[in-house]
This record gives sequence, structure tokens and C-alpha cells, in this order.
Amino acid sequence: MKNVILTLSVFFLVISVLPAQKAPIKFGEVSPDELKMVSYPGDTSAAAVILCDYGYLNIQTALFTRTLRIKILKKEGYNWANHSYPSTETSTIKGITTNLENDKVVQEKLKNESIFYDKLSEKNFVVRAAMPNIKVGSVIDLQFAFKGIPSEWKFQEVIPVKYSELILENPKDVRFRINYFGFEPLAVSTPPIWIAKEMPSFKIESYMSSKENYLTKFEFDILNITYGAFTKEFASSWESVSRLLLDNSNFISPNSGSIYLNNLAKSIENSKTTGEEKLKMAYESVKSIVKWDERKSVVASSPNFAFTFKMKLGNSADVNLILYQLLKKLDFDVTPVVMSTRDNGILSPISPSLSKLNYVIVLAKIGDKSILLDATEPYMPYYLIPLRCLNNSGRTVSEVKSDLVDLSTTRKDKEFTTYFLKIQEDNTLRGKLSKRKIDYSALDFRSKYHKFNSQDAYLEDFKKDKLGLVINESRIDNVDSVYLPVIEEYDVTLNNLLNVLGNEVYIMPLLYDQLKENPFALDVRKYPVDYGYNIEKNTTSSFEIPDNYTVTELPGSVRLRMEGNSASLIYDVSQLGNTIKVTSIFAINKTMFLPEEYAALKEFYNQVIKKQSEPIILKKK
Amino acid sequence: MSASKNRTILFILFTFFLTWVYGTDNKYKVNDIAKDLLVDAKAVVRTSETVFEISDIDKAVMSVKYVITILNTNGIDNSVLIKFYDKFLSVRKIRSDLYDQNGIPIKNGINVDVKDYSANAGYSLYEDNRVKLLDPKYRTTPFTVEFTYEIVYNGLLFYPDWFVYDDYNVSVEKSTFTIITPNEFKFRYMENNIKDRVTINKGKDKTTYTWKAENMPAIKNEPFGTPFQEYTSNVLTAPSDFEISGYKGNLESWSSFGKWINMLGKGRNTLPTESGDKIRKLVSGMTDDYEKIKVLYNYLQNKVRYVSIQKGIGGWQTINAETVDRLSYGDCKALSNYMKSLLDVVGIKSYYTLANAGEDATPIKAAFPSNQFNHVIICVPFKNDTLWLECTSQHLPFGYIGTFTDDRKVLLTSEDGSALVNTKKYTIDDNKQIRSATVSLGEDGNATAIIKTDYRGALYDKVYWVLQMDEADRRKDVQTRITVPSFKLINFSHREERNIIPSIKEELFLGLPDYGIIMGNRFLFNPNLMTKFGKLPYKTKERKSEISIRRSYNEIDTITFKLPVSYKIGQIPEKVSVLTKFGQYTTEISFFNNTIRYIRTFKFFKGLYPVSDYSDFVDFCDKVSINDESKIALTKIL
Repeated sequence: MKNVILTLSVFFLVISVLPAQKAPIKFGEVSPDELKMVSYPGDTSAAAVILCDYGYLNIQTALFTRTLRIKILKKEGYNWANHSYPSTETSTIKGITTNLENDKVVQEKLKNESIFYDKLSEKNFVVRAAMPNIKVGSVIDLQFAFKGIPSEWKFQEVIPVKYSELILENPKDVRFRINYFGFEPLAVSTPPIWIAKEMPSFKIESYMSSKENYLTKFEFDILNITYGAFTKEFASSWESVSRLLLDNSNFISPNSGSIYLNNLAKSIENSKTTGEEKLKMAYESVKSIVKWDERKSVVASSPNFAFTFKMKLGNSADVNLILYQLLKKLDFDVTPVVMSTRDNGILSPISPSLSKLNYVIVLAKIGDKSILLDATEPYMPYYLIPLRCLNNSGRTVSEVKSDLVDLSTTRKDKEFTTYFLKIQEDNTLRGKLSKRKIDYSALDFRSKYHKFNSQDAYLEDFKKDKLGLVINESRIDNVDSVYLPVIEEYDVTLNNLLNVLGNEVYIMPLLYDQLKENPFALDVRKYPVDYGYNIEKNTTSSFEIPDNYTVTELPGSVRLRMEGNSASLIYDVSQLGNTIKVTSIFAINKTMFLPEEYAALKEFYNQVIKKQSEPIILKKK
Repeated sequence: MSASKNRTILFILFTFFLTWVYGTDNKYKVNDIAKDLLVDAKAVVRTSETVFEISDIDKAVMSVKYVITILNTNGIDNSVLIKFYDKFLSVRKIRSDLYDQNGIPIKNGINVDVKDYSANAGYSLYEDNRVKLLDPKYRTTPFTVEFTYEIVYNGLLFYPDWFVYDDYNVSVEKSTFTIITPNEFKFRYMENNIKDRVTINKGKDKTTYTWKAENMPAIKNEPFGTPFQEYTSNVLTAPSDFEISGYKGNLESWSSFGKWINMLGKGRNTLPTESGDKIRKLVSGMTDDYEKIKVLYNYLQNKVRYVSIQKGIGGWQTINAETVDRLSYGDCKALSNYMKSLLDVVGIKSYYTLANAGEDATPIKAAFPSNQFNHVIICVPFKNDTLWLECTSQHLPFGYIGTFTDDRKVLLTSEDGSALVNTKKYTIDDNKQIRSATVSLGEDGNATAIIKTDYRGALYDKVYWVLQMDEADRRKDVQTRITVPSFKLINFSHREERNIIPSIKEELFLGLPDYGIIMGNRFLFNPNLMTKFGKLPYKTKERKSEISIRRSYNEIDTITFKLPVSYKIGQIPEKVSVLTKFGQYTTEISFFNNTIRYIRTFKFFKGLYPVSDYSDFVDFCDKVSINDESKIALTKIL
């Protein structure tokens, strides 16, 4: 979609008068202070700093010019002397390196020998440049210009940005909107001028849905373009976004592969199923007929589905719009829901945007029940949507009223593990290990399992991180029955898992299912932790103790709970005759933890680790 | 005109219909595949026919027919044809035909859907390598795709090699390799792990060399294995006389190839007079060559940066030293040539040296001279020792080449003295991690630790990046490398010693909440604070690959625990000593007053060990892993 918008921006042949803006820097004119600078006061360990990043859209010429000044402070910052920009035929680049050599200012221009136009594919060009004569202390000026509106402007980078300014006048005939992202405030925000000062470097953290959700930046959306008396609406409201989609023959076309679809609909009608059973049948038939090619798209690859049916392959919109068409033919109450996947960032709750959409799923209503459907994943039941879609909210496509659709799920990553073991004379453990996986846990299992070319290959991998595990017999059920839980059953011998100290024996009660390391190593966190869905890990271990042993020490039972029960551990230890039973129920009960909840979440994990690391201690009689 | 055309189309449609109905031509039925070829397989190569016809020392054409049946979704990538090309070879006549599992045609076509992309290797700023890619875009398994294409060579530094297998989990029904040359034309080949050796047929004008393999079951990736290319059937080929971009050469010996490389660089090592004077001034008054080189290497590291640009013969030929002097950047060839030029100016003899770089690079086949290299370094021979210089790094200490090019055969090039030589081998005494820590255990189980670690040699390579990070990233990196279950990083520091065997000395100050587990009157803890053996090789049914340990290294941990005052020693694990040919492991615990001292040593010995040793090897690794988890129990003084 971004390409569409860049093309549309060619319509910028508009005369409108702008007051001359004074640029914060002039290309090639570097101050003595900038040359003498040895470290950046805002972050003394920075390897390079963007001293100025200045973007200016000239309405008369429709030319967008970016002027960039970078100071190299350490050798580690040398990669900031190599630059690549997506380019078009009309784009230009110029650069100059300024150095202070024996108190003399020496400048070296970027010449053609250091500029390379790389044709990545049919339509994509990249211009690459290596700045000459770079050393620690160099100041690099770069100027890059092209026709059109950029798709985004980043105020923040992985190195600090001292000053960033964007001037973008709304011309009379083109209206566009700016969507703001990020966590750092801007210093000036008075359209058409935006300025950010002293931006800290951006650091990636674990459990982040996408870097793009957290970086401080603008994304641009064209709202409408007027030419003559005619106005073309783009994204002034979700309804106008819907209209654009509905006008697009690659979104919902009335005759799309109708013979094939009609036949399919007929065969489903003939099955005499109703309600959710019928829905399930339609969903499963689409999954078996069309595979997903792993491309995300909000529009289909062509206006009719004939080719998609022939090759049995399509992008995410092909797959889900076929499902939509089929369900409509079967008289279900269905609506397409357009959205942005997790790696593409969150849809702004306030600003409608066409360019931000990269995916479409289907909302079906049966009675009072709403079900979100995505037929791209072969091992997914109809009532789940994949993790990539669990991204805040989407929008129904309607010219009349586009509704917000909550893209969260009540389904969990749910797993039951049971050990039933007897301690043997030779200090091995023998018995049964079984696992039962439900919903997201089952989906993950199935996707992983099918990556192996045989059950043996899967079992080799299963054993890989499990010290001392010998599988004597194994059975894995329901791998292909996606509406049933996955059940793994193993007859096992565990060697060397008992820790013998003198006449005492130590057993870690949760064996291979003990949480051993805190996933959150950092002290503080700037951005939320986003799990996507809730988690429930239920582990039960039973140990049968031989007669020549007595129990010396057992871990205590405990209940841990974060505020509002957002995470919890129920840990129960009991002894009945010669059997010890340990139950651990670990649960994450909400998907998003804010930075201010981070310390508590990290401490919760610490407490879980501590509890689960308490051994059962036995003594030889 | 149009009528007859229509008739042709009709006719084609009609014959197509016939084939479709009667299925006479169902040649790639999935059911026809032998059972043993389906074991562990994601795909089966039905036929692979390669014919390489050489017409002259710089001209050849390769015709390929390749038919593969994709059995499941893991094999989808194998259904995509990817062919690299550049200035010296072009790919043409690409055709693909797609069949369903019954061998019924789904789609066929010449050159349709062929995509053309830039093939930049990722580390390069620019390369003129490109790729033609043909994805049949079919995902409903099983299915079969047949590819045919031709590659036209214009300049021949490489001949194609033949590997029976092209991937793990792909079996092969039939594969043939044919080389056709004019009679009396010389070229070279090397057969490795081959059952059926070459068949040679001499005709009137041409000689044909043929190899073939049939019914080869799929192979699997194995832990601690060598790459499958090392133990499966292959034939390597290379020219005798060759020509590329107008440069003629001979590859029959390492010395003739080195001579050719040397010739490519002729006249490219002169510096501008002004720069030459500057260089001479830098070392004026110095008498020791070694010290001079150190000064010049330091000059290089401060002056230039590594930027990879590969164009045409520039993939093999360096750019001028003069250009590097002006732009202050270049690739491995350019920067090595520049370094050599600096040394030339002050009269120190050095050698431009080709290497196959990479921590896990495949060793050079010394018995088969051919272009097996991807990198250039500089060699300066001294009487007692040889100095090696990696010229693409702005950071590596003088004289240290690290795991990127250590301990391997490289080609020293010169006018008439080119030869394979060995680079520096870092021994078990060079590759060391020495850790000493003091842990104060509190009454409540909380602890604090001061941990000092010295990373040397190959282990320095693993952490030296921290020195190049900013404060925030360095802190994060340190935190992710700490493997204690719960910790708080209170303080840390790094100090680098830039010796010929460099080291990084890291000091950590950690808070360890709940390091001790208190149960009843016991206080339990793991004396192995941070050095755990993480690599667990798993048992495999039938192993094919030798066991490969790439480098020797040595870990020594000495951890002193100060006990909480109200506890005394309860149970202590016994002394452990496991000595094998793969490695050695010992732990020992001693105590006096209120301190316990834990000493752990671990050694891994470089080598290739036979398949039959594998279960001993797994046992060794298991023993280490188990013992690393042993606990010490203290008891409350009542």
C-alpha cells in the first residue's frame, strides 16, 4: 500500500505559496564546534550522533529534501558513513565529508565512484553511497531528494538524534494526515513544523510486538486529493477507507471465481449442517483448497480467484476473502475486518489510515456470537486467530458505519504436563510422562511438529534439551485433529536426575518443566511487555518412594499472585503414603504489562523460579 | 494467419486433453518412489542431469535438467530454482513444468515467472552479482517440478562441482554429471566418497566423462557433525588452463594459481609520493621491523574502514592502493593490498594471502588446487615466527587474527614462490576462560558476588564486541550473558589487553536474590556459579558424520563461598574427574573455617573423531552437564 501512496503523490502539481523557511543547517557548512566535538553530552558513550535531520517538502516542486548531518565519534560509528535509500529515477543524492586536519578544515565530496544504483528487483531501486575519507571526528553531510511525500519520518534512531525538524505544508489540493507514534515528546509541534530535540537512542527490548510500535516517528496518510472539481477521498474516516477498499476490484469483486465457489457452497449446503458446524465446514474446506504463500496483504492478488484456485495458493487476503465470499454465499452474516499485524505496528485508535492496513480477516456473527476467522494457518481451528493478528483492534469494512473490532482473544496457551514416576533402586526414575496441549499451545506444537520429517526426528528434538531422558515408548495423538487437544504420552526412564549427596537424595520436583531462568534480565523497561495471549502451564509430578527411603524435606505449598491476579502461581505439595505429589499452576492472566508493572512482573518470575527450585529431599534408611 | 494459429492452439489443447485423460505420460508419480527414499525425506530428487560442455579455456555451456518431488511443506524451499549469475556467466532457457502427485501436468512454461534480483551478500555495500529465481508457487504437497536451464560461461575460473546431495532430508533417485571437452583438452577432477568412478568415452572430436549415482536415501543433520559435503559423494572439478576477463592463468598447482593472483595485482601497489613520504616519516629512526609494522598497522586501522564493493573481475582483483589512500575505504583485497603497499614503502617484504575465512569454514582441499578462497590477509614472515595481519578490522589487536582465519591452510602469493602454508594455531593455553569469584552467602539465602573473568584467545573473540557497544547496549549484553537464575547487576567493567594473544578482563558485581534455598535446617546452593556446559548432543540412531570439535579451549573456575555464620558444612559432592580424548573435566571442593572453595576445570580438544566414538562423546557431555548441577548442602548450627 505504501507504493500506492508514493505514486499518488505525483499529483502534487499544485501552486501554493509558502513562506521561505530557514533551514537549521546549510549543506556543507559545518561549524568549528561540530568539528571539534569529541563526545555527545547527551550520551557520552554514543559512537555517532545525528546532529541534524531536516526534512522539507517544497509544495511548488513537490520535491521532498532530506538534509542529514552526522558526527562520527568512534570507529564503531563508521557504519553511519555508509547509506542506502530506496530510490526512484528522479531521486538525487549528494554528500560531503568534513574533517579537521591539523586545525585545517578539509572537505571531500561524495563522487560518482562511491555512489551505486542497485536494482534490487524489477521496480525497486536502492541508491547506496560510501562517504570518502571517514575518520573519528568526521562530520558527514548528506542530502537526498525525491518527488513525493515520504511514507514516514523518524525522529528517533538507534543512535542519539540531537535535532530533527520536519516542515510539511498541507497544500490546498492534497490533504494528508500525520500519525504520531512513540514514547518521546516533541519540542515543537505546530503544523507545518515539527521539531524534536535531544532524542535518546532507541534500544530494542524482548517481548516487544514490533520496533515500529515504539520508535518515535510520523507516518503519513493521504486523506484526499482534489483535481479540478473532483475530489478523491482517501482516509478522512474509516468509512472513506472502506469505500476505497470496496472500490478496489482486488478487494471484493462480485464475480470472483463464482463457479468454483458456487459448487463449493452447494456441496456444503448438501451436507445439511447448520450454524457453527456449517461455518467450520466452510472454514476447513477453504483451508484445504487454498494455501497461504506467507505474504500479508489487505487486497487480493487479482480481481478474480480463478488463478488462486488453480494454483491453490494465495496471499492472506486471497485466502480470507475467498472464505468471506463462501460464507456469504452460505448466508452467514459476515464482514471483512481490516487490520495491521503485530510486526506492522498498531492501528491508530483515532486516525483512520489506509496505508497502515496490511491484513484482512473475517468477522462472522451467529446469533449473539461473534467469531473472528483467519484461514491462513493449516493447523489452526476456526475459533483461533494467529498471534500476528492479536494486535489491539481492527475495523469492519463498511461505507455506512465502520466499527472497531477488538482483536484480543480469550483462548490461551494452555498446557497440562503430568509425570508419574517411581524411584528405582539404581536411582533412576521410571514411569510415564504425558502432555496435553490446548489452543495456542496445540497450534504451536502442530506447527513445530510438522517441521520434522518423521516422529523420530521430532522425538530427537524433544530429547535435545532434556538431560538423561530415555523414551521407551511414545504415542502422539491428534496431531492432525485440530479440534482436539494434542496428547503426548511417553513411557520414560530418567537417568541421572537424582542428585545424591551422602545418604541423601535430592529431586527437583518439576523435572524438565521447571522455570530456570528469568526471561526478564533488564532492570527497567521503557516499553510494555506484550504476550499476545494468556498463558496457563499446569504441571503435576507424582513420585513413588521405595520402602528404603524416608522423606526428609518437602517444599512448602504456596500461592503467589500479582496485583489484580494478572499473574499467579499455585504450588501444592502433598504426601500420601509413599507417594509425593507436586502441582504447579503457572498463569499469565493478562497480555499487556506496562513499564510501571515491569518490576513486579520480573519479581513474580523470580519468586516462581525460587519456589520451583526447592528440591524434595529423601534419606536412605 | 490467425486461423492457422488458432488451429495450433486447438491442437495443443487437444493433445493436452488426451494426455490428461489417458495419463500416458505420468512419469513423475509419487507412488513410484521407492520406500527407502521416503524415510526422513522432505523431498526426492527424481532426476538430476548436468552436462558441462567446454569448448575453450574461457568458454563453456552447462545444460541442466532437475526434477524434484516435494513431499511435504518443509520441502517447499527446494521447489524454488535459484541461479546466481554475474558478468562471467548468464542463465538462459529457463523452463519449469509442474505436476501433481499423479504426474498430471498443472502448469508449464518457458521463462514465465522468472524473477531477477540483486544478489548482495549482505556484508557488501554493492555487488554486481544477481540472481534469477523461479518459484513455481505451488504449496499443495506432494507435487513435482521439473526445471531445465542453461548456463553460458564467458570466462572460466571455476568449473561446476557435483554433489549428489544438495540438502539434508532430500533423497536422490538418480543423478548424473557429464563433462564434455574437445579431445586432448586438459582439466582436473577429484572424486570424493564415490562408489562408481568415472566412465570416459573418447569420440572423434570430443571426450565425455560421466559420473552417476542412484537410489541415495536422505541424510540428516547431526549434532557436532561435519557439513554433509565432507562425507557424501561428490566430484570437484577445476580448470588446468583458464582465462577470465582477458587474464590467462593455470590452476594445476598452488604455485601457478598464486602467480596468477599476483599478476592481477601488478602495478596496483603504488602510493602517491606525498603519502609515501608520510609513511616513511612515521617509522623514521626505528630499527626493529616488528615495531615498524605495528606502527603501520595502527596507521591502517585509523585511516581506513571496511566497505565491500564487488564488480566484475574486481571480485578477484584489488583496486589501486592510491584509490584506497584517497577514499579511505576498501574491501579485504583493497585493504590488504594497501597494507602491503605501506610495508613496501618502508622495505618490508610481505605476502598477499588468500584464505577461506570464517569461524567454522570448510578446510581447504590441499590436494586439489582450485579457487577455494573468500578472503585476503597479509603475511609477514619473520625468522622465528610469522606475523599475520587482518586488514579489514579497525579493532583487532596487532598480530591477532582470531577465529576468522586461525589454524588453516592459506595461499601465500608471489611472483614465483606461491604456496599453501598454515596460519597461526591458537592452542588450548591461548584459548582460555579464567574465572575467579567470591560469593558472600547471607543468612536469608540472598548473596552477593564479585566475579572476575579473563577471556583469552578464541574466547576473547566471543566477547570482544562489548568493547564496541555504547554504555546501554553493553549493560544489556552483560545481563544477557549472565546465566544465574535471578540476579541484579550492580556494577561492571571491562579492560582489554591488546597483546598478541589478547584478553578481556571483565569484572561483575552481582546481587543474587535467593541464591541459597533454605529448607528446614538446610541451606542448598549450586557451587557452579556461572560456567555451565550448555551443549547437549543427543543420541541419534545411525550416525554418518564424524564428530567435529573445531577448537581446543580451556575453562578454569575458582569460586570461593563465604558461608552464613549460623550454618556449617553439611553435605559436599565428591571430587569428580572425567578424562577422555574429547575433553577433560574435574571439580573439587575444599573448605576451611567458614569458606568453601570450588574449583572446576574443563578442556575441549580440537579434532575429528570417528563415528564409533559418538556414544562415548555423548556420555562425556552428559556427565559434565549433570555434575554442573550438583548442590552443596549446609546445615544450621543448632
